[in-house]
Amino acid sequence: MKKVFIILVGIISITFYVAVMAQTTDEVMNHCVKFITHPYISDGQQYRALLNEDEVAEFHATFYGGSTYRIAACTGNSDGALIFSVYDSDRHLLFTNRDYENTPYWDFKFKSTVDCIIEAQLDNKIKNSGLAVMLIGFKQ
Amino acid sequence: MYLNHNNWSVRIVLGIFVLFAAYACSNEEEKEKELEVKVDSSASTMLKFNNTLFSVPSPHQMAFLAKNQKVDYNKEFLNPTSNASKYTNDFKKALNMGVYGANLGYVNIYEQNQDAINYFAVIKSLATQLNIIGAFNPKVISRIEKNMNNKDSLLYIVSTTYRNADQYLKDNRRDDMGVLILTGGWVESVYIMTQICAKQKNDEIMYRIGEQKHPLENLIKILSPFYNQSEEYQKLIDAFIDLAYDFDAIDFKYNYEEPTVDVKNKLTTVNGKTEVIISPEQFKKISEKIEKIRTSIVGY
Repeated sequence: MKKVFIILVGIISITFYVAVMAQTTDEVMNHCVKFITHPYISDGQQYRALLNEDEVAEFHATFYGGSTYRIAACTGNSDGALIFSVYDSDRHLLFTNRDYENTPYWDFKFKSTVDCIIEAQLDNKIKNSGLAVMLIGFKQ
Repeated sequence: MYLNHNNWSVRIVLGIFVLFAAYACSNEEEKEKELEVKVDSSASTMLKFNNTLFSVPSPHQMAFLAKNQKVDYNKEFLNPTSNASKYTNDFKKALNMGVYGANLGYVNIYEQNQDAINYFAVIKSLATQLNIIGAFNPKVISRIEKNMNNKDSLLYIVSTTYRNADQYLKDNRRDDMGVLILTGGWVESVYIMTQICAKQKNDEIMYRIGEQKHPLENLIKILSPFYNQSEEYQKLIDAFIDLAYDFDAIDFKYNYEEPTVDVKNKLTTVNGKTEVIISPEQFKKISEKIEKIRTSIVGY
């Protein structure tokens, strides 16, 4: 009987955990998609990483010359808890939202095609763990 | 004591169950209110390779370049919609869903409305066969169909729908299908560019083809975890690795320049410049290999 009880609680707890995590992901996504609106067109992909404390997610992307992009980066359903920084392939810092109160989105106009590395990490003053979602939109 | 313990057990289990049921109901109500496509998610199925993620540019951007270069619309470059019914396995269906997505972007940018209707019908059919029609709910389908004449709206909705399909597949532990859709889209867009250049030399488009070196590397990294999944994956990845050698021979020169920032408009202008030096021979070799890969994808 005790075993059945433990298994049942286990199953329900796991199901509950997955459901809560699903809601968390949807919450972050629903919040983040608000920043990729017309005239920005989604690149058709969704990027996410589960971050803990000072963990850094690294993200490699190519941005075409002559295009303007919007990068939106979110965690949770409120703004300001995710730091994202954009570097070129030689690791020159091109932008960090740390300089702008951890703004959840920023636009980038590329004069020439540049291969970039985007780093995302939690602002530990606000959050110690969470799901980070990054979206990219472009306009011609 | 045993009975008491058992009573408590039942109460705890019931309590958790009620909590879960209440949560599920409230979540269901919220979902009903949503107008956009929503998908169920699980953080345990992230596309995450040692905390490094890779992006492949949207195939629609290539089509914009062709249009901006005043290159004429050419339906011959596209995969005929009649081929769709001949793809019998999920591997081919997913790849060609990517191909047709790139085709829909191309016909849409060139405002070929009748073709857009046909390509959308094929994508809808493949999505149903791949069990990802969840990302194409009736409201989205209706929005797409109503906006067939509106180039900007259609592209926005289609791109968003492909992103939702990407999320849907990741959430349902079908990352492999998502990666194949991405792959098909990339191959088709590069193929169209090489065909345009083969007909009429165009430096801008040729440079854009050369710039595919890193997107190709990213694509290989995204596909690699599935290498042992089947012989089809192995052949596809091996063909990309072979292609990557040709891209490695292209000369790149990048010069960093200080970016300029417009804080008011939340805009950074990236002033660094990349120079791509691609010879006609290199272009020819890449074109041939892309055509071969593309033929293996759209063939049946």
